[in-house]
Parts: sequence; C-alpha cells; structure tokens
Amino acid sequence: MPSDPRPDAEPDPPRPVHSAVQPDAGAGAAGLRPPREPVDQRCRPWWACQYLALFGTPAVVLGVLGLLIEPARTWLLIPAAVLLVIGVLSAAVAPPVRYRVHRWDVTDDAVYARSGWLWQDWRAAPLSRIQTVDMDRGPLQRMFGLATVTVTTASAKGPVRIEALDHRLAEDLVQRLTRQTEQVSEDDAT
Amino acid sequence: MSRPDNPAGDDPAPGTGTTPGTGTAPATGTGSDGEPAVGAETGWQQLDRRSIQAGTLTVVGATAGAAVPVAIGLRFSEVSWGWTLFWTLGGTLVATILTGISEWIRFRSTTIRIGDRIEYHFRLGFVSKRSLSRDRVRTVEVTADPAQRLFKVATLRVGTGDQSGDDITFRSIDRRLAEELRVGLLRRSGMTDTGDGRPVGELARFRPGWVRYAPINFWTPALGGIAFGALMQVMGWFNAEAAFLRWFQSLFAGMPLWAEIGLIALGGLVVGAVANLAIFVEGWGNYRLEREPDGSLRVRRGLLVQRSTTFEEKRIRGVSIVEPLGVRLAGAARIDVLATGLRRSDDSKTAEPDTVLPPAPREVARRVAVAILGIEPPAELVPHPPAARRRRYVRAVATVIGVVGGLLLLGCWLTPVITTIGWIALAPVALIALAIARDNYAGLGHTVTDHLLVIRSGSVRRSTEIHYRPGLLGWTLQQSPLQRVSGLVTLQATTAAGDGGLRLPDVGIEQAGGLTRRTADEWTLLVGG
Repeated sequence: MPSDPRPDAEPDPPRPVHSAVQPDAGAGAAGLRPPREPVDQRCRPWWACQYLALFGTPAVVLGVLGLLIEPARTWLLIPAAVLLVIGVLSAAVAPPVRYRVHRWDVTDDAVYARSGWLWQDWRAAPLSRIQTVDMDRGPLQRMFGLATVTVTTASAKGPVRIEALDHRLAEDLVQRLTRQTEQVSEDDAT
Repeated sequence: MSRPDNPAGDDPAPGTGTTPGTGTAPATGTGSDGEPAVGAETGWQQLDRRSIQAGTLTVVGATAGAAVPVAIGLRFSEVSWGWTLFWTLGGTLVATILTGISEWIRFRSTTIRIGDRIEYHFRLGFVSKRSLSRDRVRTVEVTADPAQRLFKVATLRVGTGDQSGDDITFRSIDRRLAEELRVGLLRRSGMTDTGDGRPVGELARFRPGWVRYAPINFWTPALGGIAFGALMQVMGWFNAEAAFLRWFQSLFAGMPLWAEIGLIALGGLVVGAVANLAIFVEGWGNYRLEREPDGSLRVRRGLLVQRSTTFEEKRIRGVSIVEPLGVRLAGAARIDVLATGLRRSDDSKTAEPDTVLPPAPREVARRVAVAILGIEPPAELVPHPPAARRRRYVRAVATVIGVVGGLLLLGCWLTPVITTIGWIALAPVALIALAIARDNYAGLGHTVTDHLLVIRSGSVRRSTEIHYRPGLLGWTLQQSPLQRVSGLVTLQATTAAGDGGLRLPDVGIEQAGGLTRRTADEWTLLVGG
C-alpha cells in the first residue's frame, strides 16, 4: 500500500483491517467464508441519509400538498405519514445490518465483494478478467468522504461493486488494481 | 473518364470473372482508382443498380398486399367498386412512383468501399460516414427477399459484434459479391481446418416433419387474437365496425351462446395455428446448418426472405438447448448458440438471431449439439437438495391460494359468478401448479466435466446451458433470507456470451462450494476448505 505523506493536513487513510471481523451469521455453516475487509464506518450515516431521502422526499411532497389542498387532506397526509414511518424505520434498522454484511477484499488474484442486507450478494472477479476499474462519488457520498469502486469484466452480469469505501482508500485501490491488472495482462500476453 | 487497372492484389476469392454491374464513376471522387474487383483493393463504387428495382418491387408487393384488407373495409362501408379500385390501385401506383424516386436518390447518394476497411458514405445534403476495419468484422449476415432474389442482389450486413457498435448495411449489392465477401471477411489469414475432430460441412437441414412442432406455443392463440384485433382495426378506419360485427353475428344465427363462443375460440385457434405455421415455414424453410472449413458456424434459412447468419468460431462459447413446455412434451428441443457480442435489439436494429436449430426431435438436437461443441455433453446431472423441491411446492401452494383466493374475494365484492368460477378453478389450478413444481425440481441439475459446465433449470421454459469451461468469467452468488434458512443459494455463471450470465437457482451450499472451487480458482478464498 503506498504510504507517501501527503502535503495536505488530512490524516492517513485508514488501513484495511485484516482481522477483527465479527463472525458472520450469513451463508450457512458448511463453509462460505465472507471476504475479510469491512467497509468504512461512515457508511451507516450515509445509508441512513439515503433511506431518509428516498422515503422522505415523496413524504414531504405529499405532506405539503396535503396541507395546501383542503379536500384531499386525509388522502394525502396518510400516505405521507406511512412513507415517513417506513423511511425512519429503514434508516434505523438497515444500515447496521448492511454494515455487517458488506465486505470486500483484494488479493493478488481477484477482487471480492459481498453486499446486500436481506438478500446477500457475493461476487468475485479474477484480475485477469478485469476490463475497467471505476470510482464514483455521489453528492451524499462526498459529504461523508466516501466513494464506490466498480470493477467490470466482459460479462454484463459480472461487475463487482464495493460501496462506502473511504475515498482515499478507494483511490489507492483503483491505482493498485489498475497496476495489477496491467501486469497480469502483460504476463498473459507473453 | 477512363481509369487505369489496379493489379489484383491479394485476392483470396476464387476468380469468378464477375465484375459487379455497378456504375463506374463514383459519386465522390476520393480514394484509390481502379476497376472494382472482387476481394481486392477497390475504389469507391456504388451499390448495385438493380437495388432500385428490387426495393421498388418489394414496396409494390407490400402495398398490394395491404390493399386487400383496405378494399374489404371500403366495401363494408358501402363504397362503390369504382371508387374502391381507384383508391387501392391509385394508392399502389403512387407508392410505386414515390419509392422508385427515393430508391434512385438513395442509390445516387451512397458510395461504398471495400478494402482494408469497409466504408459507407451517404451524401444527401448531410453526410453520413461509417467505417469498420476488416479485422474487426465478427458478424456477417446476407439476406435476400423475393424481389432481391429476382434481380440477383442481396443485402449484406457486417458488424463488429460489439455492444455499442453500429453495423454497416449494404442494400443491395450483387449476390455473388455478397457471398464472396461473406466468406472472405471472416476468413483470417493462416486459418486452416479446425483439425480437432469437429465435423465440417452440413450439420442439419430442414425436415418437413418438423412443422408439427411449430404451432405448439403460446403464439397460436395470441396470433388468433391479433388477427381478429387487426381486422377490427381496419374496419375502424372506415367506420365499418358495426356493419362487420352484424355480418359476423349473422353467421351464428340460431346457435346457443356456448356453441358460438366455442366456435369462435376454435376458429381463433385454427387461424392462429395456420398463421404460426406459415411464419415458421417462411422463416425456417430451406434451413441448413453448416460448419465452414475455418470453423465458423453458418445458419441459412428462409423461404421468401433468405437469411444467412455466420458465427465465427471464436465467438462461440457453448450451446443452450431450450425446451419450451409444449415442444418438450412433443419430444423436441431447439438449440440457441451461446456467442459473445450478440447484437442486442434496439430501436434501430433487430436483435441478432441466435437460434441455430429450430424445434426438432430430441435425438437430432442432441446430435447437432455434439457436432457444434465437438464434445459429448454428460447425460447425468447432479440433482439439487430436497429443500429446493420444498421451496417449489410451497411456491405452488402460494400461487394457488393467491389465484383462487383472489377470485373468491373478487366474487364476494362483485358477483357470485366469479366465486363459482373460483371454486371450479381450484382443482385444475392446484393440479397444474403442483405438477409444474414437481417438473421444475426434476429439471434442476448441474455438472462439471473436464471441458464443460452444464446447467439445467426450468419447467415451462427448460433450458440446458452447456458452456466451455475456459470461457467462464466467474460466478456470482445470491442468497435470500428463505434460502439462508434452507441452506440454498442461487448461482450465476458470468460469461461474455449471451446476456452475460447463466442462472442456476437453488443449489445446496456444499454443492455450490464444489462447483465454484472446481471452475473458478478465485472462489477458493470464499469457499473454504
């Protein structure tokens, strides 16, 4: 991992945690081992904000309409309240569960990711098959200093997506993966 | 102006002595000079002049065909014969003239060049240029509708097989030139016989007996309904719906309601079956599946419109043996090829057809699959755990409760007739749902051999995907909360072929571990042991 000191005042990016992962209840006893690294802790407030935004926006719209439009008030305020409750519940319950489920890892051979919360999704992409490595940061992610790394292969169903990484770690990861995949394809070509 | 002859260059195609009967003066005076010669460096040339006639004739035929229902509609709305003929024949004449002019303009504005690059220029006020390097050509299709066949021209379509790439279409060029290009463009220098024991030459051809499998799909009733709907639509143009319905009713005068409904349903099925059969025969008459000496697979089919699709050997990752329910009960199967870079359907283009064998007896399908793959696929598949069967039965029961319960509820709300229908439907719906659940579990299976991965699933649409192991890119694994309880997972093998993944539902976890470990080294980290 390149650890060159940066000129700005930011502290070093968090190092990946190789151990101290809670034993995971998913995927059964007969041996599916989750990838090792957890995602960044700030994912929880980020996901909470996402859920609130997802359910809160239509709730607010319906609520405002309900306040303004007298005759349809009950018909508009009730769904608004329902959406609000769902939003608050999801924001409270889902992020910790997802934080426990989301895991990732990068070895010399492949990139791994596990995501989801009720439905779990496990993916692995061997370095020799990687076509592109992308990093995305939405506005909410920028607020929390997070980023998403997406690794694609030749298959439309194959991209491996690692969400909620610290953005400096994500940049290092992208550089490292690009270097490693170039090396692997050079070896293949010889 | 006379132009000096070019030397023939590296002409791979056997000399046919044909110079395409095209115009000699290119519309745009760019590019190298020379007589247009087959397979060699050519200058800019125009499409074949006969494409004007062929295009016009096609439109005339289509317009004349459309004139018939229009005439019927006009007659139903009490228009005299004189005016009917005036409108239909007049319309056809106008269409002919307009098409002739537009085809001529298109002919004058288009130039093509075939050399190291395939190039297409269209200049009419605006300029549209497409070009494609010869080595990147991965798909070649040659089609000819009856008008084109009459004038001995054909449409050639080349593409890179890449998702976003545009294909280049030449409509129309001389038929022999199209055929030579089809062979020449896919042939790579240095490519010799496949040499790995795969048969070269004809693998399958159309047998008239196969038409019995054609009407056994859901299109039969659907087409019947569509035909009736289209007829009503045409009547609607002339406000003759009422007259038409009255005439239709008068056919059934004096029959009880159930007989009338029965006859109409039967009539619809018959019409649909005939239409389905006709579409099948047109699409698959003259069908031939061949392997060329360079290993590529060529599908030729079509009675009226002759189509030819070629799959380069490098693109083929396996085959998919598809058995829709009706076809499977009749003892037949169809084969689609798993190929990379298939053109997806879009607004401007149709999806590249990937079926290489229409529904044919199972033994024929098995033989053709072996011929395409070069290896005998395993016959026995590993079944999935009983938990998968439980899941299917539970789903069947839930569906029955949902459907019948829904009908009963609707009946309480609307009318007791629906409630009666609900109770009557309970037994047949339950039987069908349970039978499908049992069949679905029986169809689930997978296996891995030294060279192949075989995945089978489905009941209403059972498909057996046989994929070469080296072409597999990886796996993804999904697990729903219910599956976690039962110890099952859903695997998906990712591949560059087809739509990217082969889905295998409800695999036991240990089986999944074995499968992924055997076929993808990187999963050893996740699978443990």
